[in-house]
Amino acid sequence: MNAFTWIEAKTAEQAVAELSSERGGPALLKAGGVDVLDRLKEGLETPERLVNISRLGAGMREILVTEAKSVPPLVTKLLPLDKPGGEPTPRDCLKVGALATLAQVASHPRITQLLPALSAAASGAATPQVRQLATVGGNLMQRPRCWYFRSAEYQCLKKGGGECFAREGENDFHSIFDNRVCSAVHPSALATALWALDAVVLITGPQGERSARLSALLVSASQPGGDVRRENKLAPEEIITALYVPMPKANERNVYLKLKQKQSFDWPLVEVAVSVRMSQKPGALFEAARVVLGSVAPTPWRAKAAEAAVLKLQTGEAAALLTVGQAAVEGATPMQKNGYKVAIAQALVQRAVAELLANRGH
Amino acid sequence: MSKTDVLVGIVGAGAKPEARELPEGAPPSWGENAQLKTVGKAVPRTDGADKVTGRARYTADVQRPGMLHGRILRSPHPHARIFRIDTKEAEQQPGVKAVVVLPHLLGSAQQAGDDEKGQRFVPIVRYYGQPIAAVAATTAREAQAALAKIKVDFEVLPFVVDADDAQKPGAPLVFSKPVNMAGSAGGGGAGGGVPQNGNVRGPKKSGPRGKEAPAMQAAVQAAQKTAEVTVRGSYRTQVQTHSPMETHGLVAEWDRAGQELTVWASTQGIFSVRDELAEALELDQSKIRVLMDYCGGGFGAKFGAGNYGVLAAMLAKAAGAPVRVCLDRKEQHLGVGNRPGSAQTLTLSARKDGQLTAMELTGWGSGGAGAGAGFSGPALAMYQCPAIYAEESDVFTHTGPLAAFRAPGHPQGAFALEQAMDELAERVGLDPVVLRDKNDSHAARKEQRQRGATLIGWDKRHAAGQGPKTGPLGSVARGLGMAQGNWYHLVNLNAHAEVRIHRDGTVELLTGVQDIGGGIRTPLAQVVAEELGLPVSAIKVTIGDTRLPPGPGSGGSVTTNSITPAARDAAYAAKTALCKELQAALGLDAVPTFAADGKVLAVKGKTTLPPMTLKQAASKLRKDQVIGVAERQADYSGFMAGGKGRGVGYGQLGGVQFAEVEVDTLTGVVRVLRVVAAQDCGRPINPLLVESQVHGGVIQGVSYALFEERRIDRRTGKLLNGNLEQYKIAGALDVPKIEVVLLEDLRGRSSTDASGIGEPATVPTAAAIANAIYNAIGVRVRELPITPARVLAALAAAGKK
Repeated sequence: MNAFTWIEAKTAEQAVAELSSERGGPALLKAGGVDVLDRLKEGLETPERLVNISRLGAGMREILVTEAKSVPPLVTKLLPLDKPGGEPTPRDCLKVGALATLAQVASHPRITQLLPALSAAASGAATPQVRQLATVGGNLMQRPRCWYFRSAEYQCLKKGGGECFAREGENDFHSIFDNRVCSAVHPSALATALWALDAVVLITGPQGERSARLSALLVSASQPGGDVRRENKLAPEEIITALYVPMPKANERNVYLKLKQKQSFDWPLVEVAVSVRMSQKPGALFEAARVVLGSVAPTPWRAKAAEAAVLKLQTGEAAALLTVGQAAVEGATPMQKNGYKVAIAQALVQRAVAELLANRGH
Repeated sequence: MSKTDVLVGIVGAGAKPEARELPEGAPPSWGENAQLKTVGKAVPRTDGADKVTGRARYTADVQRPGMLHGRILRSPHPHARIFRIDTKEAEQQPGVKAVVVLPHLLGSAQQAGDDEKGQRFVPIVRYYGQPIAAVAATTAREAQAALAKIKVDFEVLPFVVDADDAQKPGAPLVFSKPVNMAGSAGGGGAGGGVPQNGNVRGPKKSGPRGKEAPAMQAAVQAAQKTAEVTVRGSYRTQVQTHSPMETHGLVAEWDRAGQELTVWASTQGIFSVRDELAEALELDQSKIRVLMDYCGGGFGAKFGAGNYGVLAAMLAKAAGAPVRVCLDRKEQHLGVGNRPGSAQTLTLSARKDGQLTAMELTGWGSGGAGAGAGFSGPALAMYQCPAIYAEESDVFTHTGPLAAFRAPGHPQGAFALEQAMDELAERVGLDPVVLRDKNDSHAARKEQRQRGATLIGWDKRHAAGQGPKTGPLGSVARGLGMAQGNWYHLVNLNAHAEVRIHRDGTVELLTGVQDIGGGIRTPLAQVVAEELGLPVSAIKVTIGDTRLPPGPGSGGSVTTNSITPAARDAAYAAKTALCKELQAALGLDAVPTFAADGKVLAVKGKTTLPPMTLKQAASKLRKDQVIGVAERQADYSGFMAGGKGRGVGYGQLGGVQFAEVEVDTLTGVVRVLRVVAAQDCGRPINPLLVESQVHGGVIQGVSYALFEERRIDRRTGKLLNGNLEQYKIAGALDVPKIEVVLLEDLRGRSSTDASGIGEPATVPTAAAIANAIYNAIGVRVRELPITPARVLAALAAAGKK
């Protein structure tokens, strides 16, 4: 780890200002410090200045349900439409400050009750010790765990090098989708859940406040605006201040499942988050669905074919669920050692839908 | 010598008196634990409070005045020749007090000629991470920064890190000339007089103890031709690193004259640290003192000073100040040992009734740049089979060398052997327990099979793959499996003890054994307390210092077996001395006697004196203390085999484990729900600590079965998972319910009759889990670790998915 100057930010605006290159040498933002410490120790980054935001005001830490009228317009305009082509309608949202810890998210009663996908993603991540420190913002912005990327000795694409070492190397834990450039999977469990829940991110930067759908913020190298050296479109001097998650309506359900090799302290092999609107009409079980896979691609991976298959479901029988599972892995491009993840992804999607059906009256 | 009847056998299952030759002056046999006050009781470990409160001092906690921090420069290349090392610029860096170059590499196989002593540096690099030089500086950060300023001119050479690739024609050679590796204890396979072709050294050909290999080979071939049933299978095991909680480390400090060296080492053998330093530094053994209070685990990889220890001592001398070198987690994975990988093919021949007629084991083990990676221990010694033959080779690769690792070779060997036995049982239509009863006459294992089967509910076991499915989408299958292991009654005769009874009645035990983590202080105190009729708390035990009477290194599961008899005998000698001294001091006609309750009974003239407590008796001493010293005697009636300072006792340790697993057939994830571990360790001195060792052995076995694997990139030769995140190791939620069945198996071989437990407890675990997986899903996984990928592949290959 290199020596650096510690800067204690008092406000989000001050943190943004300190991140500017006009203030000095390269700066790195630190919240909980969990991933930042790993990267500094390995020498993946050698900032001259560390801007600490972990002691910013309580507003950055709060978790609360915000009534529709109090949700910032920046957020409301990005909320999902009730019907295609319509206007966004104001809606109650869960606000999660970017400095809220995973432990807070995991244990918040409203989240456990109405957004079980989010609480399950938070409670299953890392270890109890890490969850006490790790923040929501940090969880979204953490860098991938690819072992080539995480070793200073591999000058991989993410570090400006010319090669993805995983492509022909040890790729058991790598992407099965969108893996032609960089095959590291996105490491954030929260992102998988939040993607399926249509979360909106509030961002502060030199130009003031802006908002973005999480699904628009996280991009892979192969997508428009993508850059293999990063996992998102946050500008270097921007920081995430809060998340807004639309609160489910009475007929909406969500679920998150993850599959780990080890039950203690392990990264998932595959995760899936599904949010649905139950159908009232005969002949269909669901009338809207989001199926998002995690740990299978450089971003959370929306399985649109699976969503279509969910809408066609008429029964929850195993054979019917199989069509959803199969659709979820359509177009997968596994590499030499990660083909098993295709089978796991398929199984998890089937189980997630089965679980939603089992809880439909809930 | 005198013939005495002592209790022999499994208490509660046929123990009976048997004649043994006891040396003159040996204390009387204890009989069974139920008759004892302290020994055999679950006494909480005396160091427990120190450990949980953080008072216990480990090597990394040692702080010496003016202590510097050492960091090691390691090779970034897996294979290279070093032409020149320039340390000048590094020496000029801020805070730097010394820079040294490693003169002689320890821990790898040695190739004659390329590594002569006295050379300034080791010219050949044979693994990524091989130590080259080291820097001591005021802070670890300064030392680390200065490493980058050491200039090494490498000629980078082609390398091979995969053991299969290493055997292909034209593969880069790890060693161009024959090598030797002294006593690596990787698990067999090394030894002299075997051919070396390319990267393959061997085969070493062997039969069971006392049988000639060529005759066995012929017998196996003959038996195979007439076999009624043949079971043949190939098995693979991975490279596992020791991953002790505390990484390797050592603090070195010279006296002012630079003549004598004191080191604090994290080690399982303080005397072997001393000896390795003496040899490397060409220093008298008498001028080196090694100290250790506590060790956070070693598992076989912490015997010597290691390259890091030699470098620490050299840096301390060059800097004229104490130097600490503690490895980080990546360094621990890289270059201080591992359990070698293996590829084994095992052929069992049997009669239709399940009686084994022949066993043939062939294959290779790969311990990287080290030799001795065999696995034949269980096959050669577990079953009564008239013809057993093994051929094992070492395959060299450009990776970090092996080291002894908890029952070297045996978990690998048991993984193959016990799955093959499971397969044979199915082929001949016998229950796996019954098949073993037929082929294994080991008394303890027989008892363990019975008790273990009852406890796990073996009678409820379904036929393979036939149990009900539960869980999401009905995909989760449960299964039961069992496997057994073997280990040896090993004794280290370098085991001396001194017991002092002071005039104030306090008692001290001094012995230069060390606590690898098993908690040896407590059984030592129990043994002395039992002999003197005192509570455990009355015995002050001092260990972990080479200035004390020499003690055994903790490897081979020898510690309790070797040192507790010496401690008991020393207490017995001190007690005898006290009584003799009392006779003189009090002018008695006869020597007073010690009652079982610890009271001293004396008769003066015709008057029986009131019974004296030890304290009252000691107060009458004319000197300030009496002392009893003793050393470990050879086993009563001798050893089965022996060597320099070592003995192999008669018989074998057993161990039978039963596992219950849950296999998710859609995702391939395996969870171990329960393990029943039925074990024996001679006389359990402290059942609580024995159980703790069994828990550790089972957990490490679960971790070996399902998770752990060192991963090296084939194209760059570099380690990919040098941490405890990507090197997957069992955590709390991965630990099954562990139930220990502990036999009291009296052998009548020493004054405490203790034997070992650390190693046997981990031998059968992976095999039992593999058999349980087969029972759950009807498909066998023959490669470790049993990952979701492997389970799914096996199911797919069998058309079951």
